[in-house]
Amino acid sequence: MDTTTRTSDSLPLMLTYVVIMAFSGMFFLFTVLSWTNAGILQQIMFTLVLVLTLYRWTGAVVLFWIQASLFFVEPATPGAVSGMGIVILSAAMVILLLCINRFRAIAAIHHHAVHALLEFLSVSRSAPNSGESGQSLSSLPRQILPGMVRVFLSVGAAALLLAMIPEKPDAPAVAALQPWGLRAIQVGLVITCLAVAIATPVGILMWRRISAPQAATYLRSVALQGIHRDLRMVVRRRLKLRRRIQKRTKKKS
Amino acid sequence: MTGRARTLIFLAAAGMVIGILRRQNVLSVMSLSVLVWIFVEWLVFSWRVHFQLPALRCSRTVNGRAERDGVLWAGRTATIQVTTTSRSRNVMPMLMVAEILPENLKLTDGQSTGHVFDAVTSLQFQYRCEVLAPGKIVFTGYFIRYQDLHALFVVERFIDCRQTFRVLPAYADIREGHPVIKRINSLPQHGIHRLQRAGMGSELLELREYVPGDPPKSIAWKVSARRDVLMTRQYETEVPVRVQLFVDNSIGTQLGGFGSRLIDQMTFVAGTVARSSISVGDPVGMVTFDDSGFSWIPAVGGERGFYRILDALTEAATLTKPPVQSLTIRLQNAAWLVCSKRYPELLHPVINQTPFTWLPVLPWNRHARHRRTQLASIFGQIYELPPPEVIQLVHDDLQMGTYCQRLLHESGWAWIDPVVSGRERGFHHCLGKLPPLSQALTRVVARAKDHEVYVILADLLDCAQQLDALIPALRLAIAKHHRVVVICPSPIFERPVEAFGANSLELPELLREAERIRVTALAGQLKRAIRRLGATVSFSGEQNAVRLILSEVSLARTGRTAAVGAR
Repeated sequence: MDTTTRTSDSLPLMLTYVVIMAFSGMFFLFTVLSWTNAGILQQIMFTLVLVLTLYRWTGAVVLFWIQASLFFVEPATPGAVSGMGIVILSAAMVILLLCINRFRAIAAIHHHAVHALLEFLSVSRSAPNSGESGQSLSSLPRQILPGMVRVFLSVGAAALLLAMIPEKPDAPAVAALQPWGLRAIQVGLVITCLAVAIATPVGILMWRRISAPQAATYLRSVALQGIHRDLRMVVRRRLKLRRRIQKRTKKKS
Repeated sequence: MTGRARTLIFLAAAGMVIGILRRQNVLSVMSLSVLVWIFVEWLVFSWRVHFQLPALRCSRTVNGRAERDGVLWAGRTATIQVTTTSRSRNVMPMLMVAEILPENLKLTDGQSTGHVFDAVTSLQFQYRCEVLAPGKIVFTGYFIRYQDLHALFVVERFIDCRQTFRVLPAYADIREGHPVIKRINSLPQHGIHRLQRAGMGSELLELREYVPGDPPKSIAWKVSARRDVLMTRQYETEVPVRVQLFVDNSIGTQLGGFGSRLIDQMTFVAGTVARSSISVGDPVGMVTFDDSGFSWIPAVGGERGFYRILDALTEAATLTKPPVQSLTIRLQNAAWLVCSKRYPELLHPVINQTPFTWLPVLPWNRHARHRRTQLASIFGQIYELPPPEVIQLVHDDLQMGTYCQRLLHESGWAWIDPVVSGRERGFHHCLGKLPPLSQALTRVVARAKDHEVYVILADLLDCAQQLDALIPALRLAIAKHHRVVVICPSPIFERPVEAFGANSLELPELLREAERIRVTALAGQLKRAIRRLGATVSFSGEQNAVRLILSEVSLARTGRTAAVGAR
């Protein structure tokens, strides 16, 4: 394993993420946008949005665009979530988001990321066996795969959770709510409980590992919260007295 | 959590709710996947922050040496190599390690920041920097920014890696050569100069008539036979020429950026004169003085003496305590900036909580009060202040200004705005140092031998009209046949010129011209006052001042009163 990291080592990684972004983007174009007769203009605009993330925009813009497209394009499907197609499509979208965020995170350190990438492409085409790129290429799977695994686990967990909470047809009778309304509340409650159940012990563990200066600062600030009003009154009176003495001294002189 | 993560969570949560309500499974599954993915990333990030980040270690070598203390030279370049390792297996990615460079260092090559994009066993980066001024340099440590791979979560920490360096002053190595061709009877030994006065030297000064009491062996028989009168040989004196340096160490000489301060000019001149004099064997002594008193190093010679002088100059150039000033917005912001680099973990709102108050009402005022309260809490932690004093910092501008100044001073900031206000340099800084200078000069003259050269390097411009405390001591020194040179470093770093001509009507240009006119008038007064006594005064820059002093020293060696004329 290399002992020194160089800035140029990140360029093959960025290129890899751009390629994955391109594939994910095309997958979205040819699946979601083909559900309706989406015009060429819409496809061009989505491609433009993807390209602009290389320069400036973050994944939030792309996520919003995808969600808006799904909002207008996807038909309503009553019943439980089923089928691998939804999982694969969702995974592709989350991978697209992952790649955009990762690219932007690395590009934030390189001031001219896209230019550096283009230069790197032109150099690697002329010298394909350069030592640096070879070294970086071998470590690419190690850098990319853990993220991909986390994405697939997340998508699987989300699909499983939604599959386990289907719509209840008797919701109007039981809860005086529409089935989709009741399902939204149930999913919200389950997610909240799960998040709190996992985050609480993690938070306690993290709290017990704060450093000594942090613990001292916390204790000081919490202790001061109880007595700060009284101390503030004393300090203000002292300052008032000091100003009065200074005024008298100035008058005398 | 970064803004990017908050935006993604908001969009994903909205998308999930809308997708469930509209029965759009792909939208709901995808949005919930994003939420779960962000949660998983947060878990991984938290684990790394609390288990892997504390295992990071940074080490630094300066010019190849890793000791905690060392010596650097002003005006020279230092090469610094930083290595970051981890006690766990690897240094995890998306880590930024930034050196907190003191202001006395100027980056010349490379970057003082390293980045990790992939898990590596160690991170190394190297940079070169120029040391600007003598004094002390303290490397405190490293500012660490760690973020997850997608910039959704970020945390900042500081790793302590303290190294302290004394910076010796720069000097020009002017070594006067010894004559290699014998033009006289015998070459004087190292450190001894011919003085054209009667003494026990080996060179003939003059012939005079014999007076009873002259030793018989000094009678010049051949000349006496020619003149038919007894004549006695009178020989020259061979004496060492001592140089005494008086260096002004007062507050006014330490104001300004590193490398541009008056003390930097003076230490360069003093170091050069000391090097030149010691190279020919002349002992050099030094007195540093300020408002509180003076300290004296008697005349020393040799390499050890030269380095003792340099150490004393380094002590003189080391910043002690800045003049107290009240809090300004810029001073507070500067202190906040330093705290965000050196104590980032103490700025977390959960750790550093501020008590709720109804006032102030306006949001920007509340934000300013919140920031000031957090700063006061950090000062309470760093300087171990009792609770009443922490509350006092929130309400007392003078006290808060003092602690902000202290923090900036300890972080190696120069004495310029905002640490010290630009208008702090005034006449009151000048008057207090004249009595100690006068006392020091009188004491040195009282213990002096013959033919010493006194070089006074002091900022006397602002007290040109009130030299009464100094003039008696100068008169005494000149009356004892010592040579006195007064070098006044110019605060505008140019020779005061007579002509007035602002190039434009811009306010900074006009202020600069006004200052130049003021300095020129004061310089004229000072020059007249000191030259009237018989001393030499100059407002030269560094090289000119050195040239003037060395010419005075060479005059002292020959015993002449002026440079023209030859025996």
